[in-house]
Amino acid sequence: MNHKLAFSWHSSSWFIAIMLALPIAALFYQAIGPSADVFQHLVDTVLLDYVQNTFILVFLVCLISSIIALPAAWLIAMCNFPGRKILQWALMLPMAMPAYIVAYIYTDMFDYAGPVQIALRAVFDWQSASDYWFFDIRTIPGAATVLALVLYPYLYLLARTSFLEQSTSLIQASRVLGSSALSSCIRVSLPLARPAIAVGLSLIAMETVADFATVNYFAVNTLTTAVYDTWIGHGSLTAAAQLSVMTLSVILLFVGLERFARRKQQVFQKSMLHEQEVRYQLTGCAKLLAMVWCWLLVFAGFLLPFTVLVNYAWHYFAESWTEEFFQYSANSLILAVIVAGLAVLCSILLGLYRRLVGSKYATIPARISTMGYALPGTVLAIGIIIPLTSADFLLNDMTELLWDWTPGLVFTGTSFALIFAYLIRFSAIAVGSIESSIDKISPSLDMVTRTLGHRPHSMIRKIHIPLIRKGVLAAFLLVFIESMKELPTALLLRPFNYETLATYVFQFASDEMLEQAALAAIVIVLVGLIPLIFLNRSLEQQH
Amino acid sequence: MTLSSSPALRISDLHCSYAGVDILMGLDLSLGKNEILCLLGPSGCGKTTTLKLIAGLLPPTQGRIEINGNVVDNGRFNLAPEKRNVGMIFQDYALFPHLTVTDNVLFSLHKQSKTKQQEKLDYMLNLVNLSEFSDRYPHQLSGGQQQRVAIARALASSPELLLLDEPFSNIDSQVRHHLIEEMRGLLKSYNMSAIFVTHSKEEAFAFADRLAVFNQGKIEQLGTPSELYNQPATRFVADFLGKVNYLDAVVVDEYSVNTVLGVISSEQKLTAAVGEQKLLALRPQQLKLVIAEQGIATITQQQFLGITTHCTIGIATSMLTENELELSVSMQQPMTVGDMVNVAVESHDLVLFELD
Repeated sequence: MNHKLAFSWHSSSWFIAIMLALPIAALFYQAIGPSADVFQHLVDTVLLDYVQNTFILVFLVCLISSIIALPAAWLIAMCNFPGRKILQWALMLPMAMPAYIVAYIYTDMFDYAGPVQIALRAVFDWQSASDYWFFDIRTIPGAATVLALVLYPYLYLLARTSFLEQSTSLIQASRVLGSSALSSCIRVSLPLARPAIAVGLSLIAMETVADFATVNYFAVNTLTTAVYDTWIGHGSLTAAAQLSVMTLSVILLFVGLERFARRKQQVFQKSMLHEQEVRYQLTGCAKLLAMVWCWLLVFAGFLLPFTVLVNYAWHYFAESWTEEFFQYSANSLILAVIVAGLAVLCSILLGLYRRLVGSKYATIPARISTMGYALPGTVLAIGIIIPLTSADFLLNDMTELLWDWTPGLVFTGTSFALIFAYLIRFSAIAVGSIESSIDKISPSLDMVTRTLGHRPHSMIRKIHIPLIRKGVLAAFLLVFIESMKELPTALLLRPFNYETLATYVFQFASDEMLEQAALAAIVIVLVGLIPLIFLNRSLEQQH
Repeated sequence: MTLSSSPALRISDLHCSYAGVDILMGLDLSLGKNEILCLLGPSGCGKTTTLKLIAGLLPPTQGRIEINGNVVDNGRFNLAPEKRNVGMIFQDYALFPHLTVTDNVLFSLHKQSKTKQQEKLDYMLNLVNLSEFSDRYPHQLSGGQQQRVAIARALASSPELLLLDEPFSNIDSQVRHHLIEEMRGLLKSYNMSAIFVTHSKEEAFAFADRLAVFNQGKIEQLGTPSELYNQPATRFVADFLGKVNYLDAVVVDEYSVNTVLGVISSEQKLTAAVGEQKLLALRPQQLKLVIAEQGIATITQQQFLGITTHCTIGIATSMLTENELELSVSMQQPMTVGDMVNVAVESHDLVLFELD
């Protein structure tokens, strides 16, 4: 339905969209400038390695995730064994674990000086490292394993849902046509889940490309760490922008793949008649294997690292329970609340604009504002620095000219840059959540309200806002949580002497002293658990 | 070992319960070679469960199933579905959406040689008239074509027994009858023993050699469609298979009963004793109306259905009261509402039930 809207609606919607798209435009603009040979130097020396590392890492993470997540998803969806009900959500727990914390804990454990190697040496009476072979975790395969341990839930979740939505009669038909349970899984269930698997793997690939902390901790150089090093180390914004554009094109590749896979899913996932769920009852050896496999994943991805964290916190409580811990918690909290509030406001505006205008081009602002989510934190940070630096210069030049006074770095030197960056990165989540709840309001409600004599503004107040309250709450919470956890953007954009919980934990992990920031790490993990509770509840309702 | 003399299927004392609810309670059933048996009943009566038990897709709680003399289920042992050599056609056809028609039909033959597969494929697609569609995906086919792929796929595995679960429920009513005829012809030419499940009596009448009416996990009556329609053993069967008029009747001699329509005689001897109070069941087409000014009944409603006209007549059951008995009648020529008529009953074997 078309509504006549005030000019302010149009202008503010488009303004938000353009502001949120600014960093991407700035990246491309900066990337075509001259880079004082830094980029050429990179091309001549290490760039090829960085690109290669990035792709090898993505490949390995996807491979390992598939190997661990697909059997788990199939077992949970199609089989019955003790603990299945708990496992179906417990398998998502690793999602709450920041990868760099897991990396730290496993490095600690498997290092030469770690408990595993000490125990092996004691048992076999080896004297030094030259007496035996032990894998080195600070390698690409090591980083890939750690990343896969916390990223596999994406694939698990999508594949499990896909298996559950497959029509029971398809599986039964394959059985009657002579396939055993296993062969029916390989010939029917897996091919049918192909689109969902592709979506899951693209998400994992995107997260892997965007990861900064883990690869940095393991000293594996990828495109993302290169962006960071080029800016912090070489101070070349242009070279950083050029690397960012490269990273971005890799990401876009996976975004495209994901979109393509989702389209295909619609043909494949035409779940026809949903009958009673029939699960294979596992017995004996199969039952034991299934349980061991699933619990092993939960254990390795969550229980073990979390127990270690709790243990650190217990032993180093005095060192953890510090002034800084509270200061940085407060910083994170305030930052997250501001960002979540702003993101929700922008999304409501964009969502209602789309609803009220109802023409094709009215969806553009909302679409533009969701582009930021695909940006890795480091790339986004570079994209933000570019326009804000110009803005700072412009402001200082102007005030100097007018009043012979300079206010300093108003934009880049304060938390303004952080808030702006978070807003760009996470408004996609808020837009998605609020848009879907607006779409659930039947258009005939709009029509009936208007025929009952209400103007658009009073309709928004009386009908739309009350009906999207739940979506608004969910949007606020999700943005809040993501902001609490975000690391790479904060590392690059935080003002001098300003720390968030995440940067604080990361500093300590980098300095091999995570023990002393264990409380902060636990807070980050606990905050990360909140969305899983919501996710689990919505999944329970579906099935 | 397959015994040539054993029936295609024999079920004895089959029980099944799911989530604490008894679905089947002591089912006995047997199916002859090359016979098409239909399980007919309202939804939730256990007929689809029976099919799934035969296919091995559900475990029975008790009972025994033999296919061609081979025991596939007894109390201790359940043969896996892939080893039972049955074919099944699902209500939604369950065509694999990621496979072409060719790959769907050859699904059960993937271990055989390429030449054998090609031979079978050509034969099957020719049989169901889908040779030009071999490269299509299921979603590119019409409902009827999808159904034929499902049949070809099931028959390609050379099953000893074919199970069909409501195969016509997704077909337009205009082409349904044609498809039923076609599929029956196909199964007969293939000498296939089949069990067919439906809740539609029209489909059951058209498709089955024998019919089993199901109610609450038990077979109410088993016989040919016309036996069940004309000589229902219970009121449930009588009602389920079509409209019935019930009249209070008193047995007056070995052959006749007295009703409000007068004395009606049966062609066969009655089993009830003289003087017993019974309920006489009459199908609408067993009544004939004749217009008469002094008729005992009035036409109160009329519905033109094309092939027949259905009307309701009212009869004053006693001269003194307004009490009216309504009867349904099918007739060839429409009459006029308000016409007075006399009612005659066509001669047949009378069906009597106990009074409630």
